[in-house]
Amino acid sequence: MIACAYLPYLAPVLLMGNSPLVVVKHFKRMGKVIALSPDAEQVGAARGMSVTRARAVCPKGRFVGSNEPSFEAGSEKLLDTLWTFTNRVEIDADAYPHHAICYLDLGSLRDADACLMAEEMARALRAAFGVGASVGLGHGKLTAYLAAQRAMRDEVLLVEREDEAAFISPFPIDTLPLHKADARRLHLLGIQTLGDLAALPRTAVTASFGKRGTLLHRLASGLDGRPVTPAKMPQTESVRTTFEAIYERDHLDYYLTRLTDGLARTLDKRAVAAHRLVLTIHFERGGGQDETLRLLSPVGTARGLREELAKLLARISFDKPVVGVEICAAHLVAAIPVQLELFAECPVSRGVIDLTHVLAARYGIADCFTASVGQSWSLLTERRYVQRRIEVESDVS
Amino acid sequence: MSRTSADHLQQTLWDMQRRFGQGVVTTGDRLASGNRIPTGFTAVDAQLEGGGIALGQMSAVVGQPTSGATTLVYHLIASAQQGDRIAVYVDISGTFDAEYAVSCGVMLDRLLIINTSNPGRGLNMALDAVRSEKAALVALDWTTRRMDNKYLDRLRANVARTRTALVMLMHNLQSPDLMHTALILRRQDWLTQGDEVSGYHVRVKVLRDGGTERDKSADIDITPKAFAS
Repeated sequence: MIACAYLPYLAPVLLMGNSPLVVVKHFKRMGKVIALSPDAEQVGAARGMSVTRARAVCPKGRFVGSNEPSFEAGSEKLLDTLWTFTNRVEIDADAYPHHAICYLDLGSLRDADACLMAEEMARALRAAFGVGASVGLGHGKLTAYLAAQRAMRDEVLLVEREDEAAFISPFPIDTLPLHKADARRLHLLGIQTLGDLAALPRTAVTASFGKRGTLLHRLASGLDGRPVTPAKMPQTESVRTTFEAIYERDHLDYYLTRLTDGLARTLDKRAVAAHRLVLTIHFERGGGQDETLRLLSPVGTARGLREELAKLLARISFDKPVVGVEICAAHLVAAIPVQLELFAECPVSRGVIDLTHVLAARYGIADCFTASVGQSWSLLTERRYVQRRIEVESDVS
Repeated sequence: MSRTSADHLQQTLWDMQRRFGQGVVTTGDRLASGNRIPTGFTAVDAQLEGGGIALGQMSAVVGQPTSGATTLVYHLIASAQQGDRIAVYVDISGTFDAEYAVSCGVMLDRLLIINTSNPGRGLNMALDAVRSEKAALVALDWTTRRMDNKYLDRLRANVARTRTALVMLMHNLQSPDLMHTALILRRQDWLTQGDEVSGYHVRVKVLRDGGTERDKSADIDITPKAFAS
């Protein structure tokens, strides 16, 4: 199941203002319009138009470049909002920032569940951008996109698999990803809708348009097998702070704890954990030292991060006053959900905890584990039992 | 006792032990030997002085992979956990198999696993665990490397003053003179049921016991569900 979230005219939402907005992209020889507000469209400006012509038809328009920071921030905000539903999110780069067309791969979710998720998606987008989005659901990207276009703002439209061909057939042929030459030829042949194209024999379309014709025919027939190409999630998260020169380790620990809590919140929000930690200490009068730790088990909790950072901190010598600290969590992976383990955990014997206390006082708790039942139904032996660190307060930091 | 009755008795003992835990049924002389931990294999215990390995001593269980050495150590841990005591497994080779340990009778809630890839740190933690006397048995998986004799001597000296048994799991026997008990396991042949392998037959050689050299041996069968042979 694929969902398409559609936010029309995103550029004026991101760049607030009353005058008609025209977003241009400057190429080497000439600039082109890539996005515009509805009022600029009304006066005759259009996407793909040269900047000179756009200035002529819309003299009162506000012209901004495509490198405006708000657009990048908007893209990140869009991804952040949609990544809470799935990590397989693709933003249509050709349409952005004119429209925001985002495809989400929902896997084999059932129709009813997908509808519920899509409603949540529309609500989340309205909360994030302050405007309504429509969400289309289908088994292909084209169907989902057309369903999103057909749906009203804040609405969800699901097209079931057996209805897909019938649903898309009345849409104009221009909704396909066509080259200019192909579009002109199709119009000359009198093929106006997707249904018209689908009615042609596939071999005839292939003979006329080559391999591309086969793809177009498949798309027009509702057989869209194009996968969602997910945008890459940023693979690092970092936090930093600066302060007046400090000379004592305790003071540094205070700042580290604050930073660690903030980093843990960020990781938790993204549902990821770090496989690598980098701690950078900045000393007064320039210079700094960084230490890296590769973790066998990814860590995402504040407590886990604090324990690993304590190891890194132990490697750094404090012979100079410290003025700044930075923690970078890298090689991020999806965090393993922990709620399923609530009922599987059996309490550890008092004797084991007492002995761990004894060992933790000297060595820390990094190496003290207990084994317990994990996914007992799993066919993989290594998943049926898991080793967990024994949680006792360590006197060693 | 007829053969059938012996089989029935063995089956009943086996069922009781599987249901209520290892050590629920034991022989009278075993009860008297409070300073021993039975191996869980009747044939082996019969060859050991006092019916098991000694507390406050360092013992070695030696065997190549699939010789049954790890199985024997898991059974020792299970025996040591009787009476609400705990055991420690220092897993330097990173091969602790919790599922198999449970099938050997190990109670995971009474087992502390020290999982470290740093042998020196593991050794020191094992020493501290022994000194604390909170555990009945500390098993040290030292199959990946050879240990310096001075460390072995240090271990023996520290164990001697405690009520904890230290069991070294090794691939090759080192410094037998320092061991109170040394068991060498060697796989003899595979046990099959039809075309499938169901276990293996192991000869356990008691090289040392009670601090002196011995030359005894016992044969045991190790099958995935067998509790004792």
